[in-house]
Amino acid sequence: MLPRTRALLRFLVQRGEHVRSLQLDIRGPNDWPESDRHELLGLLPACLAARAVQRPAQPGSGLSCLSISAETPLLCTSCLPPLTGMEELCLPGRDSSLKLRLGNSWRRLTALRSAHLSGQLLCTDDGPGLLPSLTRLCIEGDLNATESELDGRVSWLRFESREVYYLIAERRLARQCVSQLA
Amino acid sequence: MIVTSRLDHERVGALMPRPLLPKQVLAGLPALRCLELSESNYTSASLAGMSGLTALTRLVLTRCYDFPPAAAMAALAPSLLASEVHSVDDDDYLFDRVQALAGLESLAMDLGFDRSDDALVMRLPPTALMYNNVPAPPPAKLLISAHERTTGSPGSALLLSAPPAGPYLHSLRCLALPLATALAAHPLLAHAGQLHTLCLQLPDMEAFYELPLWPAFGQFVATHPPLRRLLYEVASGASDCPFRLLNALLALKERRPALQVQRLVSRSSRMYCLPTCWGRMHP
Repeated sequence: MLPRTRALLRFLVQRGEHVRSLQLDIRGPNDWPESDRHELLGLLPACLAARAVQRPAQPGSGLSCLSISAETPLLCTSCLPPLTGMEELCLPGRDSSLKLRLGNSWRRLTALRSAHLSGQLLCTDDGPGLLPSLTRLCIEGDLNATESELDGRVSWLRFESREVYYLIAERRLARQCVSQLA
Repeated sequence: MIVTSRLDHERVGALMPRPLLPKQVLAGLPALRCLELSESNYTSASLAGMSGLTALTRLVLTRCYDFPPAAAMAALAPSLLASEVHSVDDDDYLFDRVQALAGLESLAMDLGFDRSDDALVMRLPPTALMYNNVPAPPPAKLLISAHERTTGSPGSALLLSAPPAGPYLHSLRCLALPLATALAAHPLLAHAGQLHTLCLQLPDMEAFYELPLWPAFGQFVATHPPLRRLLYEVASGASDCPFRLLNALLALKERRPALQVQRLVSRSSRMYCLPTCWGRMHP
């Protein structure tokens, strides 16, 4: 995967001005050497930066659609705001470990119409976090984070009352309770 | 249902450290027409900023732990035309919010308990067959009875509960519901005077057409004046098409020849994909 990502970076540096839509789905094995993983983490922002600094082949023909899969390693999103021509951003499936800092830098994305955001949304400035031009917005949360945080609480509930499953509105939590009560 | 009252919901919710959606995220979006909240565990209070989305026409809530406050939902009513709610755990809580959405033209509700939940239900003691701290209402008992006749054990009959009556019914043109919910709700649907498309999400259980509720539901389909299309969708994880149930559905067409009966192919994963019927209704 690493050589292909390097090749992608070379392509974007040389021919990136022709790219209108970019879908990144970069997955590596779990037992990757740390050095390879570290390089990949640097390559992804480099790919986006390479695309951001290029002038479009024709006016209005810059990168308009960017999709980054949940499996693609992404440490931060500071590489996104420079893509000022972007109209559609799809960033699904991230857990709360990815911090999406919305603020003045995001206001450079004046063409953005559709956004699918996940991860932990943070607003770093006082003004609106997103752009008034948005017509479609999907905010994806992280239910699993809640579930893992509750793991230690279920046993406490069990000791309080065996009828706890009547009180539970979260079915995955209910499942855990039933398995403990069985 | 297994879950009980809103008070209980809040009691459990109070134990959960849940994040707040920063209020700036939903602020200053005057052109936003479609908002989807997916897998959201944000608190209800932090979703109150939704009330400022004055151009919103479509709201989708998928597997959300909590809903926006009723006042925020009501504030959307002047512009909101379509709403979808998928895989909700607490339908009582949902129905409270749906009532606030006056003026809706399209509504899809998937109160989904998935297959693994069926397994969960089987392991609950009989006393768990409760709804709002009282024994399951008569329609649910009927379903349980029918299911027991065919399988010998109680199961997903617990899905049955009807949406509430309310002014929101008057403007509905398209409605998508699980079949069990539609059976329970058909007396209410008579008040949906503009309803021309009804989409049913079929369960695995074939015995639904044996229920005493079925003839009355058939009568509704045959005689509700504006109804033109009956769509059905087989759950994507279903091992087999419920042919006997399907046969009973198609028999409704004999009573109303002009009725369009059409299957909608389910997508592979309903958890992350919207029901196809909705895409068909809103191409």
